[in-house]
Amino acid sequence: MQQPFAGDEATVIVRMAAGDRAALAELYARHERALLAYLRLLTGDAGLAEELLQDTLLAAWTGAHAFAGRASVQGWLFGIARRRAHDTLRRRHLRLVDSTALETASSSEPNPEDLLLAEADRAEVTAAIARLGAIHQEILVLTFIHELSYLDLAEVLGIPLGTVKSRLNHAKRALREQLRPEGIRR
Amino acid sequence: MTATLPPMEHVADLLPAFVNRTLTQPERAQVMGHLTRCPACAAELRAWQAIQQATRDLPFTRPGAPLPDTVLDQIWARIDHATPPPLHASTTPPPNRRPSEEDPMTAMTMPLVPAAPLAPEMPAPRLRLSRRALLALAGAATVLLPLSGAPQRLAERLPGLNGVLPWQDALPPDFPTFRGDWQHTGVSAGAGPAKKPEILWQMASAGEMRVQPVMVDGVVYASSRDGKVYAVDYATGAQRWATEIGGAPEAQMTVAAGLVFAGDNNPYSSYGNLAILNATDGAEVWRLADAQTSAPLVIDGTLYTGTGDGLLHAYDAATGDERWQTSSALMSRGFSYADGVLYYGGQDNAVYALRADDGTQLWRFQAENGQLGTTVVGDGLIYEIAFDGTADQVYALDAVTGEERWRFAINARVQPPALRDGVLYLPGGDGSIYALDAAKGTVRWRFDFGNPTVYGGTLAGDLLYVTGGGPTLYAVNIADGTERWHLDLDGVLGAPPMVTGGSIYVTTTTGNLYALGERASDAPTVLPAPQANADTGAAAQFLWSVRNGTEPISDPHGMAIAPNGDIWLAEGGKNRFLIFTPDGTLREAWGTAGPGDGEFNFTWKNGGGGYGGIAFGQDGSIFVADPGNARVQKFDRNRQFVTAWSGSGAADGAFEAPVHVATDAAGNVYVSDGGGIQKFSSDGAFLARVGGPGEGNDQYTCSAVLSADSAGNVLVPDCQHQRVLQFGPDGGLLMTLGADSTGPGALTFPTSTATDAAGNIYVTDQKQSRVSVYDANGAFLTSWGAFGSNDGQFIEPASLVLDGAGHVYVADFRLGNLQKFQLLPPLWPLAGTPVP
Repeated sequence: MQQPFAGDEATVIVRMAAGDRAALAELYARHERALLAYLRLLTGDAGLAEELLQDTLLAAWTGAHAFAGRASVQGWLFGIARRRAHDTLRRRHLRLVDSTALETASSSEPNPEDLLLAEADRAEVTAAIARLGAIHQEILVLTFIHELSYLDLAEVLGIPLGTVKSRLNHAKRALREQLRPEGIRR
Repeated sequence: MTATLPPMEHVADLLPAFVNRTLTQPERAQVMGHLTRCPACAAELRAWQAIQQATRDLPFTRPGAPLPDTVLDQIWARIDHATPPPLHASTTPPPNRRPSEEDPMTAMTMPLVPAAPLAPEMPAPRLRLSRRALLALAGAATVLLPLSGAPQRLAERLPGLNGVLPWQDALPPDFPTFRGDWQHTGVSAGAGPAKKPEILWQMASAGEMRVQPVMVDGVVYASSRDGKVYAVDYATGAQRWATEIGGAPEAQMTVAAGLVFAGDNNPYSSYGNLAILNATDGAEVWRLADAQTSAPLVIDGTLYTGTGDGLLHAYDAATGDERWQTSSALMSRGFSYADGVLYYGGQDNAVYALRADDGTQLWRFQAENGQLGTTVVGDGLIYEIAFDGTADQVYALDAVTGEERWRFAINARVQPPALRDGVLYLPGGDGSIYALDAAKGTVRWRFDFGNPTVYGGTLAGDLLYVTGGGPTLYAVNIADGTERWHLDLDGVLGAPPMVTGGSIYVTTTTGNLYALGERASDAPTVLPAPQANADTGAAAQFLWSVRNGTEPISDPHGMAIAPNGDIWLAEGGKNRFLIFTPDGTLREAWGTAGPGDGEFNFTWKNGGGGYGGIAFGQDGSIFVADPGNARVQKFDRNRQFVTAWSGSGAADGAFEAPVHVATDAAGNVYVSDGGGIQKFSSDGAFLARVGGPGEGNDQYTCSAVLSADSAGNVLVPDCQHQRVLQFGPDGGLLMTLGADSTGPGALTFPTSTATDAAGNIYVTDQKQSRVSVYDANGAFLTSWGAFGSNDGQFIEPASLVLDGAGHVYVADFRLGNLQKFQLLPPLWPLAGTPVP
């Protein structure tokens, strides 16, 4: 069987908007694990992540009629999840990280220093990613674990497309700095 | 030439999206073209690939185990109690409008705390359906259905159950992997049934089943999203073993070299754990992590597959020792094989051919668009589908050189074709099956199903057996593309059927594995051993069983006992009532089909199926639920029409399709309808609603044969929620029976209810083939009945009534019979009740 329902995703949302409960169950079955993984990343709290998963699905149900199809269904759901997590953490006065990192316009020039990354030991790079700041970790995880497109990244993170590209480049630069012997900060 | 190229536009910005494969095709082509000319960008690509791999190694980012299905239940509860469902919302999403729940986004971001180790594995199934399926047959119980209708007692027809069954003489040809062979042609070496088949047996699992079953040496193997791999006997459905491999397996399976290869992942993640089990006993032999698990290729004891680090491998299938590895593109699906060559579609949308003995690449073909699927290998050509969502393409490539020979597109989705004798049978997402000339790609014929979700076909003999996005299995003549027959099962048939040995094996998203075939007229029906439940048979004693003469009763449904003690049973399939005396004599049939006064239409919303309900008032009045006419009719004790009340819509007193009625001692009439239960006076004046349809704790999604007791409590068999709800006279929920129970009192599909003078509650459970009894407080007391068609057994009990004198009448939908039982202590005699 080859991806039996690929392409039906937007249909699922239309069905939800029409009150079809089976559609929400399908949506849940398909995205539950990824959403939960993302929410755990955002909150660091499995219980809270599960609560937020419910919030997200509830919001998707009530907001299905307004799904604009600008991003993919996954991008849309992740965006809802992120905003729910954001609201909840803010309400609970949990620690928030202000993204004051300067996000300058992105350069499309390759950087020769990136060879350092390409040749570094894989475990070392993993350890370096774990030490990155939250916003950089988040965009790497969304890009490479959840495989979101730039459009979806923009939707989820609530930033313009250009900022998606520059944030990725900043994440790479931060990683490079982590890997430089003199750049390691603990 | 190169000197005249314009200055290069670097593509560094696009590289992350190139790596995670989310670029559009033109962008992708741009990047690939650039990379061949720009070493700097190529180095940058390697940096991003390293970051991708490293990110995937992060310990806290992988999707964890699925949550227990209670989470979805909780969401339903919140939806039902907090937010009205958007029933009347527009079904067309307005453009350029942000989701209503959205808040203005701030520039803030959240703490990203590496989560502690993921929550422990939670084994509970994910979907509501799954749980139902689990409880429905308690594990992997096997049921064998007798001849449809079974007009005779099986005991009379089956002189010897212990002899060798005729179909066990020779094992069917193997079907060892997805699509039947290593070329993935979708062609069976065996035969399928020519005539519309019957269900021979059924196995239930606790999760969605979306794999094509495979068969080797007469054992059928299939995995379920309950995390298990099942091995069952092809002829009887008896389970050989079940092994938990974890995850939510949907990956297509292989059985070869005495081993079962099953991935624990679903198709939306290409890579997962590949469990290698001993085919004889299910014991795990070894396991390969981060592997491409779809239809593992096993040739001469060698397993060929790829891993998520971009390597391809050949392993000793029995030990896991590596024979070779090579670096190549990530695999989109598993390998296909012919003549010493491995073929696969890569996640870079290229098709590859490699030597099977050492992994050397022979050729590579870059497809233009779309994600590649399973490669089908034919005579000198291979066929590859590029999934592009809406306009998939079929490529035919030269098997030796990789050159494109032809391409076929229908501006819709297509699915891998079945290939035999120079013809490709291609399921199309435009609702058609195409027969293509395999050498040229020209259309020979086209068969329109009118069902755009047709997606899997298996060819056997002169029929193509096709499943789709629904419960229907089709058999299509390949000579001319006409339908031979179709058969409705349940859920969605989640994969192409496996066909061999004259039978069809197909899985459903409701967790069932079905064996379908033609039962020889003299073939014995094997009944399962009696249940090991000590209560079975102790609660009630069988007295008699009747049908309509020698014919089965057609869709028995609502039932009531008349003031004179006769039993009136709605014969739903014939729009009439059968009236039996207490000793089981058929007195007469009453009613004719039609829309007029005193005429009945027992179809449900014109959707077929026989319904129809009946109740008697204290004065002998007769109330009939007449679903096809969307009304309740009232007759006097002499069957003279008195009145009818009807009205369609959602207003109080209006009906969708009332399927049963009940009366209480105060003269109220309760009507069970798709729109909910309503309470009326005996002359049809609307009084109140009793609960309502929905997913809440006090809501129901079916209410078929409801009953009311003398105190005006209403019992609702909420079949899909696996419980019985008891509402008080004021409409408030008093009690829930059987819900969330895994004990003996669990209900899996309650269909009807009755209350005795002591307040004990009797429930028919259609899927457990028994009657369960609870005391007035809802505590489980006992049950009787077992699956089968012998006296005192049930297959799908549909309704029951008590006569107040220690007798129970049970109508069985599947057997088409009515049985009478004598209740035994402690159910009867009731304290203080004289024994008649």
